[in-house]
Amino acid sequence: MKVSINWLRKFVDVSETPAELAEMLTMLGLEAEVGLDFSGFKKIVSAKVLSSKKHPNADKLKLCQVFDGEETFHVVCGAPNVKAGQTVIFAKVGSVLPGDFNIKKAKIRGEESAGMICSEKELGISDEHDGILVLPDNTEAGVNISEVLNPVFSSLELDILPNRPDALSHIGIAREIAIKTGRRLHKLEVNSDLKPNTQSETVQVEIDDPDGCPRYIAGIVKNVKVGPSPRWMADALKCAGMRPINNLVDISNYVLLEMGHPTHIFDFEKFPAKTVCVRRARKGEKFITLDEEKHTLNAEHLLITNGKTPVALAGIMGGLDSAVADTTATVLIESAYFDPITIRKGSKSLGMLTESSRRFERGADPEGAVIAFWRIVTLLKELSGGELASEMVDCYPKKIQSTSITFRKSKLENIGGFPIPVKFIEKTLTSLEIDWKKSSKEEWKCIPPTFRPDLVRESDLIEEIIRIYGYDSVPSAKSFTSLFTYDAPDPLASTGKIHNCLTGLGYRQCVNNTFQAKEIASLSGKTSVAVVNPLSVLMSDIRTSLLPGLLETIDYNIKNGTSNLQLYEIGQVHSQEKKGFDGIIEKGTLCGVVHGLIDKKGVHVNGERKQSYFSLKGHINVLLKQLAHVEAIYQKCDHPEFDHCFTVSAGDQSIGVAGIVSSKIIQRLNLEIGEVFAFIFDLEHLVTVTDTFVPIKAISPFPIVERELNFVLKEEIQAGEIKNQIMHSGKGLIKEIEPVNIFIHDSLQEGMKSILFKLVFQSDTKTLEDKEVNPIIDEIISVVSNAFGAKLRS
Amino acid sequence: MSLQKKIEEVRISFRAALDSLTSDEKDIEGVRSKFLGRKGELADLFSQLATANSEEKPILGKLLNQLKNECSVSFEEKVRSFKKPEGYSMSPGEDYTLPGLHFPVGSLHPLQQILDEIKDVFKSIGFSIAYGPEIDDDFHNFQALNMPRHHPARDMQDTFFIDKNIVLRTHTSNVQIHLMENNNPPLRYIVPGRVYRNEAISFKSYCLFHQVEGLYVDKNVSFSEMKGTLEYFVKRLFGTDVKIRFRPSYFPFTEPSAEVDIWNEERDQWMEILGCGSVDPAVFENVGYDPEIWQGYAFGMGVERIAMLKYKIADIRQFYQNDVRFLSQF
Repeated sequence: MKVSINWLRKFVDVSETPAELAEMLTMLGLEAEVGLDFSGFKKIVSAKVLSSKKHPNADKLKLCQVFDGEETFHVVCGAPNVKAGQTVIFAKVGSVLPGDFNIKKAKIRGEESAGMICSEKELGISDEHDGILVLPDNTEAGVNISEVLNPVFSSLELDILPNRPDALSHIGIAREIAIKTGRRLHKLEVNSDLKPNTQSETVQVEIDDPDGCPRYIAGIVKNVKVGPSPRWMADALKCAGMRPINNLVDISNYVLLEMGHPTHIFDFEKFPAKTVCVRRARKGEKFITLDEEKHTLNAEHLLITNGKTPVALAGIMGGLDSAVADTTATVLIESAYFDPITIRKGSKSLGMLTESSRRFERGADPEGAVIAFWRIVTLLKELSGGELASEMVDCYPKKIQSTSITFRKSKLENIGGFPIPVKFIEKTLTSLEIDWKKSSKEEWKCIPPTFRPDLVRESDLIEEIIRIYGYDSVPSAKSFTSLFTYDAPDPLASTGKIHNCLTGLGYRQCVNNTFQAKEIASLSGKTSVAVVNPLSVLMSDIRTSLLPGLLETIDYNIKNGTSNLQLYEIGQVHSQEKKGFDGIIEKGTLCGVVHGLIDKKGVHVNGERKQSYFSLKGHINVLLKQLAHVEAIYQKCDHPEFDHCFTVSAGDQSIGVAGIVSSKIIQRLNLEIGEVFAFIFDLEHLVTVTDTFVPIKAISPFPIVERELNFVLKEEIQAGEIKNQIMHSGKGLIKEIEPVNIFIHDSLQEGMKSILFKLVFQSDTKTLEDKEVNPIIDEIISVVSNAFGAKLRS
Repeated sequence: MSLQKKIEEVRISFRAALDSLTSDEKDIEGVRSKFLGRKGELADLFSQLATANSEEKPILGKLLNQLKNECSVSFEEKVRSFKKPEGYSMSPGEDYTLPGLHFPVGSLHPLQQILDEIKDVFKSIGFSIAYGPEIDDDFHNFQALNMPRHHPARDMQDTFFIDKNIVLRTHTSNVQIHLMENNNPPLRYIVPGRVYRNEAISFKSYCLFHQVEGLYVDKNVSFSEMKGTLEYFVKRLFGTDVKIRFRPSYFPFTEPSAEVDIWNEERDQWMEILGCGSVDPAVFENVGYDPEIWQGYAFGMGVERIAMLKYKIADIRQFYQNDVRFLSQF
């Protein structure tokens, strides 16, 4: 909301600069920035136009002589309204206009121009750029812009939070300044004694829906003359960000900005039955608003009608047909109080946020409706010659009750955590216009003013007192007032170890978008959860796997010059396992991918080394050893995201899967990347194995015995199978087995290979001797031979 | 000659041999086999010990063992003294300027680093950490937090809906409600997590961000205590010289509410870094806590916002792009 500082001065003295005022209001919870402030501008002054004639080489340009009180300048001006004798704002060469617009000496169509005569748009006052800003004739020439324009146009830009409808007005802002500074607030005085003239009119108000419209005030004013508003009003409206239209519309807008109460002025000609009705719209009812938009309504919308046809969307916008025209002579004034929720629902469903709906949906002042009515009547008389022609018809079927609040100093101080003097409390309650009575020592019965619908509970008053006291003045406690409770410090603390291990292995952590196209989210074979109102179809669903995001990250980085990548992400994935909210399963997931080369060819490396399933497997082994102190166990499986996939387990606990990423998926994602190896682990399971306590084992003091066994067997037999068999026959004495060489050669039979295993034996209780190891070796040879048709290689 | 005398003689001759020992391998091996070898003089003496009478045997045995120790220690010492380290050489060539072997460099995402910092501060002052669902019902995300349907404050958080009643949480405050529903006070938690806002993607906003929410409930937890705690937090994160201000604000679930700003010298303006306030009594009523007994404070901050301020990142989208040229700077 834009606020005119000049306008504020009608209600409270303001001695602060715009910046100081913005700071004060911000610290009161009304976030403010300086809107317009000309005080920093140099070389921009008031000046007289001495002469104005047509540019010899351009029809639309004029050559002007401008006098700044000392010197005369030749200027080319494009404004159609420039005339000799005017007083204008003149920006000299070397000045800078708002928006960092530099004024330089220029030659325009062959004519020198030493500066610029400014329009309102160039000065940031309004969007008006058709003509120059013409100052009142009595303005002297040569006065700095800030002295000329700041008294009229300096302004603030405020961001008013939804709980403060009272602050959506100049008097509301002025009240806050008065409270904080202790200055007097000059309240708006209205003359409510005006009596209708003799040729009186009548109007009847019928409210069908008192819940939607608890109060409706109407009255008739005759003999209005539609015309432009006086300069002071037009300037005030412009400064507050509103475009002046004509005196009738401007009066309604002026009152809205002045006291925050929305009103409406209808052409009374459009009420042949001299009746105003407030009712719900019928389903399918059509209505065209002032902005020429057609709407199809339903029972959610509240309408104002003339008894037959709708004339306004209550509290939101008037209708095109009933708007005042240049010929309007008799008007109906509406000053109502509409139900906040009704207006909000209506405005939301139509997507129409107006100055009026904004105030009603946050809670207007039911008593303000009366003041606004009389203020409108008064201004119509002053500015359009209109005369009151009816009584003020006040239809108030559902009285808005004020609440009485008990306010305790003890509760205030317990919440605040510091002492606040009674004197300050009482002074603040008074300045907030709260009607209070001491009910006992340090306890008050309070009735908040009707313009503060946000004050209904004791806590609301506590906030007000601390707010006015000033958050800056609240002392900062240096210790807790209670004991530590530390039952579950961090259920996922172990993820720190995962991060450490993976970054140590050279993985970079990524953070990817949750939203994906449905097609991508379903690549994992899971049913994805869809968003009803997505930003785009490409972000319609919630990811079911972290893999597609990381694959796209690989693609992005390759396109930006990096193709050797080790990446991981830890994040949540969602899938719809069963119907309904309870069927949505959320899981913490860890996904890692490797792509490209491990080592490029270089001075130390003869050939390049590519990432492979085995480099990934090595990483996983390190990860599980570090986290859970176990050997990872791999078992072949099928998975929609992989071409070759293995489940990974730590002991009995399955952790997830790893393998070679499906080429189909890469193709479906339309990525230009090579082979990718990935693991996808369940974070909760990983944390479980990490958090499982593994007691340390005593270190065996006895020597190890190493043996080698070289089996010749069919090529398709996997080393892991033999290894498991050997381990099984090892009588618990084998500490390590590793295949150290695989040999395929003509000297072996066709289809055969030899695998050399290295075995390490060690006992925890004694020194092993040949007589104990040899029988085990014999047993292993016999079992492996029988089970796999293997022979010992000589 | 008694065995004892022989022992002394061997000692003398060994010392003489040792004194004149050169670094010549043959010489060394000669002395070693003459005295310490399997058929050397010491071995000879030990064999003679067998013939000694039983009274002298233990004494002689001891003397002999002493001699053996003495000889082998001083011999090895002398031999070691001949060896001079030759120095290791470098390969390939002797080019010190060649690069080291290549190992991939890992990195934690900047958001993770900031989150870890935030967690560390609050853990160190006795906060626990809790997590909660990203998809939640309207009750936990809005209503229980004093934002009934059609509350204007809902406009402050553009929401993604799963259906009419189910939303992607707009803040981690939903976990406040779960925590209070499932635990009795006192409570002191922070809640990190991903939250969602239906906002157009630009340099300053994204459709999601990461938030850390805090909640502390006890009998006398005050606004003043909140101010002290959060000042401590901000100073730990941004340094003790940081200029902080608390200014009034509005959140439906806290009252009084405040926004915390820090002064940004470069931009010459205050920058908002977190929102906070005393827990609104309506929230306590919604979870069945008696607001006459329990009070507390809550706060919430955006991890992205803090990271942007701390690392001077101008475009929020960089966090989700995962360009390694960006990631490698953290």
